Amino acid sequence: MLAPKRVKHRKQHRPRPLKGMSKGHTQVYVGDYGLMATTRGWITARQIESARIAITRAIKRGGQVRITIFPDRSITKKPLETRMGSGKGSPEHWVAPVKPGRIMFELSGVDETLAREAMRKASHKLPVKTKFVTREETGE
Amino acid sequence: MADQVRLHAESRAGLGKGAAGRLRKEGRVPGIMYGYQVDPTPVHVDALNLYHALHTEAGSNALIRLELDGETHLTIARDMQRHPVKQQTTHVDFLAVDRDSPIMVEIPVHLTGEEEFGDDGGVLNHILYTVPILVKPLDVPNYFELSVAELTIDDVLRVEDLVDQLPEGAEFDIEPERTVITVNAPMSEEELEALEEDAGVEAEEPEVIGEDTDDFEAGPGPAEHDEG
Repeated sequence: MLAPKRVKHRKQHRPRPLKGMSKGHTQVYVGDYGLMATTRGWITARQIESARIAITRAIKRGGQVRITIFPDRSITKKPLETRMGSGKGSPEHWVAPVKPGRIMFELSGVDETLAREAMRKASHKLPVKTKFVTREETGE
Repeated sequence: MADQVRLHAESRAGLGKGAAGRLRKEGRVPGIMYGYQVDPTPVHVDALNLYHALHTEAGSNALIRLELDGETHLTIARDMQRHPVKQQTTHVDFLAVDRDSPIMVEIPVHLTGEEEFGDDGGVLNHILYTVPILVKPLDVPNYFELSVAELTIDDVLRVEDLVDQLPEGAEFDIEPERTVITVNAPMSEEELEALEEDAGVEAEEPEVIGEDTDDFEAGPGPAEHDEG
């Protein structure tokens, strides 16, 4: 699963609520088709992996999948049935904060019908609403 | 040869995001015109007309005859800002061009013969989607065409293969050896199975930078001081 190899600090502040639109990677850059987030949320490493597998299984050996988000924010959690206090919990998982407009997956080497189907299956694994986009639509 | 379209523009009196936002609500797109023999002039154009102007066969390389205050300027749309989700154009730059001076434009590469491709199971890898060229504005081609029907595994098409489609007097603004298309071998069953499998294992705890003191302890430590 995706996770940073080296970090500066083991625990981070909890990410602030996501405001505004995505500033980067709002176009399909390296593929023919993309899956764009239209709402905001934290996407965990497990969800990214799950969506990747859904796309890979749908397209078989035809195309190439590129993941364009990376879970680099650590989320901590205190153990169950623990009293409050005694410091911050331990890191439990990694998330990628995603804002509307962000292209999360790019796909190339397959026809549009298959790409739409693969992205539809991937979208069911994600906690944000999504939209299928093509390179021409995003203006790249 | 790039299509030429007419577009009517009006000068923009109010500047800043407030005035620009009001224009957008009225169905206008704020923009700026600059370039050859033109002082930078804030303008606004009709959003629908701009959409049609940029969706001809020439795409965003269409030559736009911008009519402003009774004068007509030969322009090309350059830096376009879009809404990240709705994809509406929120701002556009019009670059006024000299018809005798070459300009740099990105020409899209279209593939043909994709239906016949793939008998040997090769996977097409499109690397360069646009090729920058230096060309006079009236000679800008709409697109380059590359046939992939005859390609087999490990074949490579490069920028230099497009040279016969270059207009007269034009030149590439990129190294001719750059790869446009490659054909890769398909994945083996084992590779496909590995990709389809869940990575499964939880990620290991990452290394914390600066916390590993092994190197420091192994090296010569600071001299000990006898106190007192």
